[in-house]
Amino acid sequence: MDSPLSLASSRTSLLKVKALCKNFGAFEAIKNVSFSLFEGEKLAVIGPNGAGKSTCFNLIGGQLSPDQGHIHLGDMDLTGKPPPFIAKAGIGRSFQIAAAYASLTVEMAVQAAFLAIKGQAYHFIKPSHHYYREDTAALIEQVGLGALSQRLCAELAYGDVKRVELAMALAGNPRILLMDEPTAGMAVAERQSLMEHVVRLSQDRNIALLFTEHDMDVVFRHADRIIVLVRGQILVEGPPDRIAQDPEVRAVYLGEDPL
Amino acid sequence: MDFGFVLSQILTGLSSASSLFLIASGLTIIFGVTRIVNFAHGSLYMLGAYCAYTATESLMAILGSSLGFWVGILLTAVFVGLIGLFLEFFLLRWLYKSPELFQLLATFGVVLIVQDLVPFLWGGEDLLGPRAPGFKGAIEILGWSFPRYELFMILIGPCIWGGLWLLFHKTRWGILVRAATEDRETVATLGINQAWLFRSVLFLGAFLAGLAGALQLPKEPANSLMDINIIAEAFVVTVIGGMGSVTGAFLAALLIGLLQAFGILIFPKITLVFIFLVMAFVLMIRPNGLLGKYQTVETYSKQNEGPHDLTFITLPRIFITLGVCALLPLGLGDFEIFVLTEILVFALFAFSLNFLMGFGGMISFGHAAYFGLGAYAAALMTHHFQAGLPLALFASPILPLIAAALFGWFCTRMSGVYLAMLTLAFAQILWSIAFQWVALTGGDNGLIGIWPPKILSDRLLFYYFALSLIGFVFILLYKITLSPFGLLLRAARDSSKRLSADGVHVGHLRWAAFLIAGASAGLAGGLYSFAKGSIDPHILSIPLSVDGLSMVLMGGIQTLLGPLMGSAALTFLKTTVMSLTENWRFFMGSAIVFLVLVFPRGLVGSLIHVFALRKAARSEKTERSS
Ligand SMILES: Nc1ncnc2c1ncn2[C@@H]1O[C@H](COP(=O)(O)OP(=O)(O)OP(=O)(O)O)[C@@H](O)[C@H]1O
Ligand SMILES: [Mg+2]
Repeated sequence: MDSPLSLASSRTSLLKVKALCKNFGAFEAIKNVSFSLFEGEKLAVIGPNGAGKSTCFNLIGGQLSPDQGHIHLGDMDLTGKPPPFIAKAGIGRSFQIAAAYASLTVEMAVQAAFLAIKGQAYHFIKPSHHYYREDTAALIEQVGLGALSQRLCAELAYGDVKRVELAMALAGNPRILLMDEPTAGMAVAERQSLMEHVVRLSQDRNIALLFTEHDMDVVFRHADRIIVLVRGQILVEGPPDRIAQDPEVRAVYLGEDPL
Repeated sequence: MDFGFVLSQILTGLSSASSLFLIASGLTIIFGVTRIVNFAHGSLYMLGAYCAYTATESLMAILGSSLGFWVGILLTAVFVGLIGLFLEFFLLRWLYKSPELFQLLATFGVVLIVQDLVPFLWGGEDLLGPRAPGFKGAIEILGWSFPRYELFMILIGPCIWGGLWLLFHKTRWGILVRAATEDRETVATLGINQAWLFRSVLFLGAFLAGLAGALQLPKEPANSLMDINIIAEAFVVTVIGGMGSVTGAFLAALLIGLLQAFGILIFPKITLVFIFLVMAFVLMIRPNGLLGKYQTVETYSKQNEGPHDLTFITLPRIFITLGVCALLPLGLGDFEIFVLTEILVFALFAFSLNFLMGFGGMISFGHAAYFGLGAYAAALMTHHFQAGLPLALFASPILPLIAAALFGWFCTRMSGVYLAMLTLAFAQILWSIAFQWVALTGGDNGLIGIWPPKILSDRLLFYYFALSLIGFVFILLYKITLSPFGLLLRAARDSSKRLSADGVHVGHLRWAAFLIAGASAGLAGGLYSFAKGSIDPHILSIPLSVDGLSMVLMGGIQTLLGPLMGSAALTFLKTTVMSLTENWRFFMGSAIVFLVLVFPRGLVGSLIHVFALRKAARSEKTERSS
């Protein structure tokens, strides 16, 4: 395989994943996965269902801990650290099945995210709505939920829950945004608009974006670089035009086994 | 140590392991398929023993002692299996989609009903059953005599285990059950068969419980404490084995049976503590038990749309409520004022429970532990150190705080039913300590003469004292609920995965909530001991924990004012109904079942719901007219 890094090698790598392995019992979900994410880059991980994309993200986000391998953010070793540590280190994330706080309003949910990331959980007396009012309002506006800020998360459409999650992930002003299928379960028209939102926000804030996605239009429109993950291993990685031409990738997506 | 003696202890352990396995296997099978923790499983066991008494007595007269006995045992098991079916048909099937708390409470309601039904049908005396024909007497093993029947019991366990294994691996039905246990999606795709699968599983589980109870009869007279005594142990075995795993239950039963047999030699008085330590140890290494696959998922979210009165309640309104409370006792007699004091005290208890459960999402089935510890702390200070009321009341939240720190450390690693069972087991341990450490706690008699000083000896003055203290703590809890801490606690209840990815260590947060709830409940307990003047182990027991849960439920879970209303309603009911009837458990149990099935929002919850509906209707009207 030829080096895919020529484009980015001049830039500094932000996240380094080295020889990551994860087994569930006897099943090897992630096998020897290594890659880097560069500053300001938009890197997509694609692959068929069950390829291990979510598992890989959960390893980086700390929801799972790897059996082998290392994860570094700059000089900081994140391997096996718990999710709060990783969040505070500067990695925000969203989940494949969007998880917002059903009984809270959008405003409270985003406020909670600010309180959480700023380490202000143990304040007991002053009412929480006095904290981060302006920041919260601005962020809700930015993700396009201004009109819905007083609604309960449980009442929102799924696409709006995804936006709430985006706002929560952005509250800590992360250096990396990890998004597991940001547009899954949304209407086609809304997908591109949400993704444009994400891309614009991350560019404004100089956030590197690592995302998985099944919608190839979204992937090829927005990704700078693509990693193809098949059965827990990296099949190829490279810029979108090269991936689009790759015979192995086409074989995987057409359901034929090239090996 | 003499080898013969060790061997006889091992055999004793194996024999009790068999009984434990019979109970726990039924519990675990029912849980595996229906995801319901059947609190009433101990009641089925007790019914097994009583029914076996009746069945063997009459059948041995007709069929002769040998045939009559064994047919009687078998018929009993089938009959209890049918009771299980009855339970499924009239209660459980309405609960499959309810939150865990409601399932636990409803099945506990059944426990209460059965507790009154049994003396009604069989009288209050312990009933000594017949000996098993063919297994009378004892044999001698290395110089120690050992009952034959116990040897028979040792064989029963592995036989049933083998039978279950064949059933689950060699029959279509059994394979379906296993599939349903391992993968919830399978159950959903079963369609019409699902109902029958659930029913048959309940039959089997109840059958096993009935069999266990019936087989216990030659060893132990049928008595009215069998249900509560066995259920804590059965929970421990099921949790250690892993919920839903029959083989796990078998291993855990062996472990616990043997530990009990030897623990009784080393720590005769605190075997329960010992067992509990084993459970804590196993859960720390394997959070899902030895062979459990069931992931403790966040099922609480089902309830998140529940009513909340957080926006409705304001500081001025709280003061108005307290003002009303201050006017209530005027002109009333001593007894009525005592009842009002009790209502306040239990309201604080229920507040603290609701803080943990409604806002924190942690189901505690042993909250009486903290209430009781607070009461004991105050009573012990008064009794052994002659401390005055201020010092004793100061101590009353401290001891529960320490306990909450310790228990919470374990409990916050768990969720859902594991948490409920763990909290229950902790409370049972404290209960057994209070019961058995007679020198310190006075045992069953408890401690008496815990009176407030002269200036507070007037009932009315003590009421105002309690009201101001409880009002203060309530306002504090209210503030905390609205604070960043409270907000994040609610966020963690809704999705701990999300909050953790936002940067909060959810375990620490929940631990802190445990401390707050424990200390508040402890203060309530301290006040209670002074209001009543005496305490006994009852205030650490499961029924009191359930009272707390019922109050929260009656008032409306996730509401701030609900616990006060719940406490008033329940205490009022208890004082009135209890004085009218002996069968208050029956009424209480029926009330709980009724509430869960028909009125799950509770008093305050329903009110708020009505308000919300009317508000929505009104705003719709104004929208249309404009
Ligand atoms: N906790 C777990 N225990 C056992 N197996 C798991 C667990 N989580 C994931 N797996 C398995 O690991 C494999 C990879 O799962 P993963 O969710 O990472 O795939 P994915 O690429 O994200 O798929 P999708 O596109 O459907 O989201 C799947 O076969 C899945 O069944
Ligand atoms: Mg995935």
